Amino acid sequence: MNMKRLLRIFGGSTLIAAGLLAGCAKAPADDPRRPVLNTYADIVLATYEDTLKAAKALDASVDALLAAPSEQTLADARDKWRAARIPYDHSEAFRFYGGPIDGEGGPEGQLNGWPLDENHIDSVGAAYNAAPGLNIVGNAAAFPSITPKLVSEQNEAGGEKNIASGYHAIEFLLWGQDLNQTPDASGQRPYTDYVVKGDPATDVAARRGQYLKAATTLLISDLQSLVTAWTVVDDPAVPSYRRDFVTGDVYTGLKRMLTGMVGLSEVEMAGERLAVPLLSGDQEEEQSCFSDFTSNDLQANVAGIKAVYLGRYERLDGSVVSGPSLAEFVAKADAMVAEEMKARLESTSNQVAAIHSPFDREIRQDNTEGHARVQAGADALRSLAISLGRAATALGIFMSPIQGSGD
Amino acid sequence: MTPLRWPGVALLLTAGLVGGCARGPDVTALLQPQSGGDTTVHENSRQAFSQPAANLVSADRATFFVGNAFFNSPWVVAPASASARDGLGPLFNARSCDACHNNDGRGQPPLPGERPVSLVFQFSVPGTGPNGQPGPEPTYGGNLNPFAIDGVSAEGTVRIESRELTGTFADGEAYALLEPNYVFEDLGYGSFAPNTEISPRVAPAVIGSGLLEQVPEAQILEWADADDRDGNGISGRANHVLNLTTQQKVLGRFGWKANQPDIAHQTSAAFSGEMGMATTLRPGQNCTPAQTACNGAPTGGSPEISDEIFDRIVQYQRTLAVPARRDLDNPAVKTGAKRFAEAGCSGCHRPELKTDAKAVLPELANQTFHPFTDLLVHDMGPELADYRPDGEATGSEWRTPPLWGLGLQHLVNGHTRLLHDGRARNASEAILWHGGEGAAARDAYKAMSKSDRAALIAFLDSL
Repeated sequence: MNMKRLLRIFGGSTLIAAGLLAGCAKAPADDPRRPVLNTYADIVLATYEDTLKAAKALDASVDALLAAPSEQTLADARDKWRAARIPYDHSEAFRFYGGPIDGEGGPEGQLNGWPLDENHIDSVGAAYNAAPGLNIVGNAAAFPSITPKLVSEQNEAGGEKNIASGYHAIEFLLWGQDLNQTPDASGQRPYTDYVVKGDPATDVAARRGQYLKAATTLLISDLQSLVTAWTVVDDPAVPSYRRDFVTGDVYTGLKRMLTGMVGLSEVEMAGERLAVPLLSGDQEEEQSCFSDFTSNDLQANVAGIKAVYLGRYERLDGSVVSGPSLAEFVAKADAMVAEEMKARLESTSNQVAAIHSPFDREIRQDNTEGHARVQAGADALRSLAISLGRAATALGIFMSPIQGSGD
Repeated sequence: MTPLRWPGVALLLTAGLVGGCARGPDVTALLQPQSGGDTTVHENSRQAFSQPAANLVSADRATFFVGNAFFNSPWVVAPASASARDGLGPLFNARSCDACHNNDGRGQPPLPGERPVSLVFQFSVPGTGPNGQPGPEPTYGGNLNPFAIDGVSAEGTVRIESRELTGTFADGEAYALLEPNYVFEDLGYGSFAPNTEISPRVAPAVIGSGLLEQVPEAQILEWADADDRDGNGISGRANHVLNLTTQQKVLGRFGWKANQPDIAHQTSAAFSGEMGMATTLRPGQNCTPAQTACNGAPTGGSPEISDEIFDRIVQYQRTLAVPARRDLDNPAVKTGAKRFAEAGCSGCHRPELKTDAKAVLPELANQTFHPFTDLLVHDMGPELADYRPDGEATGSEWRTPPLWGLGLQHLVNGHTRLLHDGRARNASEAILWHGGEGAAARDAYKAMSKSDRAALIAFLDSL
């Protein structure tokens, strides 16, 4: 097993292999691609740091909204939510290989669970559960205090997952359900939903505010755990995912990078986020269905893939994190595949950017042009996944058939 | 792995005893690397059961990932913005297929203090069905739902009190088995009707379902030997069940008692009974007349899962790959294959099946594959009986479960629990639980030397 793996790693590098075979006395040189893992770890860390920073800004805007609910403070909180999504969307290229985000005990489900059990959180219509007692916000007896711990527990309760936390719970609490009153409208929650009128222990507006704050608090602690996992730890006695990643088996590290990109492009984006909405016929079959931010999410997902492949990430403050990249080593190994990857990244970016916003209009049954744009995006992402598979082959890396599910 | 000191001698002796022939059984079919024919994938990870069939054409591969999305993600309470995905419950065992068939693999009994998720308890009362057959429990329905949406009472939970049974192999080595007893607690709707029959059923792995579905019915019926005319102690029977679409009785081949004819029926039964999701095949909510809050709760439409989505979920399961065999060069695995055949295991756990030339998908047509099942029900004796008839299957009959993927279960699901209720803690215990038609094979296993038993387990681990 290990020998095979070694052969795969060094297969393309005849010089080193020759050195090994000749029995030269020096210790075998390390895989020259190891610096790619360092670049990746730097980009992952920078992305999560940006994600955390943007989430803290969102949390501060929620404080301002709850302190003085108004059109303005609500609008500002919504802006901060949109801004917070972008770096998180980038970071989704770091999923699908069982890393800190979605390995055992990872926070992915709690951060980004979808679809949301919105009426488990709060009332969604006068006719149904506006009555107290049928949701967390409305049921002060069953849920006397709404804390990050409660929100976290609810997310797991009941036959596996109850989706009640993370970005989309916050989105629901800021926008409300998108009832499509006008064709381009997103959720229309009024700021008065946060104007407290009575005892904060039982008043639904106060309790809604407590839920919102609990959800942003939980978001921050989950993101902090990801920053921690990817931060450089000098003390060798302290366990560190990052250290294990950058000093561990290079083949495994590169495969994880590729798996994350392929998983996001083919399984998650082309499959779940584009093909599924085209099929379901449901206008709200979209990740950010309350805010209508889905088209922006999709573009930022592609940007995350590019950052990983090209080894270059532009931070929120405009500074750039870059270094030796997969792209460089693919170019050395197979110029044609490198060219193909360049073209595919370009065309995928363009096709996904061509999907109009709001996404829910694109997928309406009667919007044939919208369907065609979404279909073209899905096709481009599948092609990208195929090209990434070829890039992996050029690097001597064997991808599993699902190409997005682990080592 | 313990090296075998005298494999040649052991082989000669056992083969001589069983076959009356010095060469031993032909185990070629038991050692084929491509368990799933051309669909086979080479994947030894946590995701070993979650791969698209290796031979899928690109359009079917795209469909696979659509179905995959719905198999994995949770259904939500109605009314929700994501209206294609709402309608969960009101009563349910799990919110997603993946909750029970985790990573497309096998479920297990709940740990102490947990509500059961991937272990389902089916209920029936004798003689209350339309033609005198068993009908559902009048208050709780067809199975226990340990969870409910807000505003509706859950049906209850279960505590498992296991009794340890001990025994010894012929060589004197002791073993212990756990016999479960179920205590139902926290019942939301009062006590069960008298005479309620209860059958615990753990969620099986989903891999290779499409291949099993596409084996010609005539082929399976050919193996049925209800009266044991060949005198080998094995009398496989077919369970004939109703196809809800055609209203014809057809061969059952899925479920622990082969009580579902195809993947669509199996899937709609799970949606209805365990997730509370209505499909065209099984419309309506899973509430009994006595469950008023359940009946009054909002639904996610009719059906709650559209036909388009349902078809993709069925197609997904149909095209889930089977992982390839491992360690076939290991001498212990080869020896284990011989012991498996000699002990008579392959009488029911048939190594080789073939799909129809006219399969529903070209990728599944004419595939020779190796599931280790005959898809028939067999009497497994009082040792495993649930005493609850299911269609034509009696209270002690169970369908031979496929064994493919067995050695990867620990990696995929983090446990090695086996049998219909997950009572066996590993493959050895599962063999030791066999009774009835499986008693002779069990006794053969008990009589084996320690190294032969280890070889048999090594063989099972290679599956």
